[in-house]
Amino acid sequence: MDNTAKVEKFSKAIADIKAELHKDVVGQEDIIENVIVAIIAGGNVLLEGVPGVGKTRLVRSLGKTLSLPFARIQFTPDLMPSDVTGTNVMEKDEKGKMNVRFQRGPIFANLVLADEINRATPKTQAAMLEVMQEHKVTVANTTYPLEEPFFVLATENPIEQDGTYPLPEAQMDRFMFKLIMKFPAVDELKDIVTMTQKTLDETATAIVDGKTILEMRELAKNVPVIDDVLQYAVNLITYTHPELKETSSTAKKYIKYGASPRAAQALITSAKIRALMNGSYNVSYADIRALAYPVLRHRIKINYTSVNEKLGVDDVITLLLEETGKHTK
Amino acid sequence: MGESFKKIKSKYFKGAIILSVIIGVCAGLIAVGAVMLTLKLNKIVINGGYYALIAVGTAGIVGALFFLILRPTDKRVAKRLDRDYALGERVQTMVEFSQSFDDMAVLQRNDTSERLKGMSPKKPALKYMLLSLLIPVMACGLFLSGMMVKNPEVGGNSDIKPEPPVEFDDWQKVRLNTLISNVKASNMEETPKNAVAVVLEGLLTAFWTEDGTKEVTEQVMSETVKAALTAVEGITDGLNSADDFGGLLAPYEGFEGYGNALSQSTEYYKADGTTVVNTFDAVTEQSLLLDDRLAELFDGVFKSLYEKIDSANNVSSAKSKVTEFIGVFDVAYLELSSLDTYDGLFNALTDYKDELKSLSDGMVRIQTKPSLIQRTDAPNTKLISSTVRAVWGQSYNAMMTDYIRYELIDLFKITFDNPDDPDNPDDPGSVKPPEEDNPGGDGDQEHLYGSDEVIYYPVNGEHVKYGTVLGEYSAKANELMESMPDELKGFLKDYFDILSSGLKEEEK
Repeated sequence: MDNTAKVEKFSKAIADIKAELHKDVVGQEDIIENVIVAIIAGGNVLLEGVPGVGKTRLVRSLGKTLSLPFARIQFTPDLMPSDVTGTNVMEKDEKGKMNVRFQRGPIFANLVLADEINRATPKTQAAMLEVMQEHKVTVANTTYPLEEPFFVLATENPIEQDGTYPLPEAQMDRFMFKLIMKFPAVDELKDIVTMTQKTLDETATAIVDGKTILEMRELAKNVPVIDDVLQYAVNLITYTHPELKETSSTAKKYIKYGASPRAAQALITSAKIRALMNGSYNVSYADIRALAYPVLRHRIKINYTSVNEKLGVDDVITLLLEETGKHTK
Repeated sequence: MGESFKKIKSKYFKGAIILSVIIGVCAGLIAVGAVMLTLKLNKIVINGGYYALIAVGTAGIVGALFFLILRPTDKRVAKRLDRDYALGERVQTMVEFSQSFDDMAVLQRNDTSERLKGMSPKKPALKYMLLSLLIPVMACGLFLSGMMVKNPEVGGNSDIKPEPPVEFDDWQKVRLNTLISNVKASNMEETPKNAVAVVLEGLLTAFWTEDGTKEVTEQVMSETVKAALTAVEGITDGLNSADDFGGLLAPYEGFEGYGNALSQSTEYYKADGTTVVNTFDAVTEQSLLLDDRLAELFDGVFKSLYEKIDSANNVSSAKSKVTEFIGVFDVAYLELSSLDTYDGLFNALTDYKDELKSLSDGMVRIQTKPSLIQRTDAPNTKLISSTVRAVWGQSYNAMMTDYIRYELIDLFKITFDNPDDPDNPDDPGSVKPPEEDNPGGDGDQEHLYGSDEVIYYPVNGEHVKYGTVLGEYSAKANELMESMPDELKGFLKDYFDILSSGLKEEEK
């Protein structure tokens, strides 16, 4: 298949996925779009939202749409790393002989919902995050690769902070995006209620498979990025660091820690996919600007000045974008 | 890169050229207008060609710079298209990856080329169009303002009104004629007398015609009169050798008295404290006293010599004093000879030298001191009488100069930079002829007037055609010039040069 056909297939697939997901998830267009981008890009997503907004439903529906096995891990303080990754178990075979068999943990799915990851202990979090990074599990010196595409959607409950272990910044960096699932609007809530009166089960059907996702991933890598746009993305990340000589006034005033180089990689990779999704064969400034929020909001730490001025992290990102735009163009 | 893109770029290119030309022209107009206004308001006139040069130069440079800076490159055109048509950096990507054969790059190029089909450069926003109209309007306005300001008057500051001509009175002419007559009737020696008369007659013809007066400004009149004064003083000073001789002889032993007396002799007529003679009668009166005054001045100038001789113990010692005296004069005479003058004073001193020589030759026959004193006394006495005769003329010249000076100053009401010292008029060298404001007018270089023009002829007191007397004037002047020492020729020449240039200026 030539690239033209591939791109057409890509665009059609995306459109179909979205349409299918909307059968089960009302509204949340940005969330759906960014989740699709993250999956195709091979990244993971940290999803923040109050209970009941449809986080689990989204991932389940996504699993059905993408024909990918789905697993949900509910993190609790007593959850052990082996509960996530799996462990070796002793088993008696037919002859009565004891054998060691690796019992795979719930992580061995293509789509994993790590619910309330901030409730797990740091040890368990670390085990989870290591798997997210490596896409493999090592137990008793034996490595078990995870099947691609592998995607983790982790959630954090922003309400209950007691007895939680907030993810450290270094660990947060492993998530490509942080998305905030907002409480649905009145009309959307009305639709949700209407829809779920009929059935609570997800009605989405398979559209693509894992192989297609991987093909889409490969295709997106070839999307050209002009030097000016690349420079813009790099400048944006650089300007989040207040300690640098060439930095922004916004960073100096409002930011404590800046984003890592992974942010720049995430930005460009996801921008390419977004461009293709929107029918474009190149990355544009608009792609970078749109993806700046999910890429940066969990990677930069705002300081007390911004809190004092009642500026949230998204507000600071907006200021950064304005300042970068002036200096780059 | 696609034909569509090339077509659009070509349109941008044409637009950039047109804009550069417009900006260049505007810059040229602004530059010319600004320069023109500045120069005209400061009353400075320059050749129109320079304005054209400024306009063309500025237009060319600014236009070229503008085009160089803003010329539409592929990247600039791509940026502009992406911005104007919200193409999401498609065109820029197409341009940047134009050489890439990657499948996706090819797809991207084709997609972008499709989108560009039928597109044209977007018209600029209204505010830019208004601005682009405003600048040419301002440029034209500034240029027209510069054109409309009047040129200052050529050759001068138009704020200064031309000086009105001097109004001469008839009595001034009468007095000048009287002055000339007095000069001719004076006891000055012929050569300087005639030279001074010519100078004064030149003033007459400079300011008067048959019908009336010439139109002469105050400045020209003043400078002409001053030039005449300078010429007169030059003539008489040039004949004053007493001061030179006196200065040379005074340092020599035995000649101190004589030398100092010589230096004072030409102005000794003021010895009694009288002021400078300011009338001809006063000159006459003082001249009658001159003989006695000069005799008084030179009385006893050799007294020290006689005292030396008399104080000698014996004749031999006395002789040696006299020999020394003669020797001193021999040395002094060598210096006198360097002056190279042939007037009466020099002749007197030459005679004195000869007599002293004969005296030294005859020394062996002198036996007594009284005899010795007698022998030296005779040439000394003769020298003094000869000197008095010689310096009398120079003193008389000095008095006549004073008289002429006062008469001319009073007649024409001349003022000097140092009004407290009327004896020291301006240095004639600093008197410049009036500037020619109209260099275009040549005038007659050889004649001051046309040959048919009538002038006053002082010889017979009648008015005659200039052409009839010009020959006589010229011959007389040439004759005087021939007999005149070189220094006097120079003064006269300078005087007539100033006179002719000043008169030519007035005619214009």
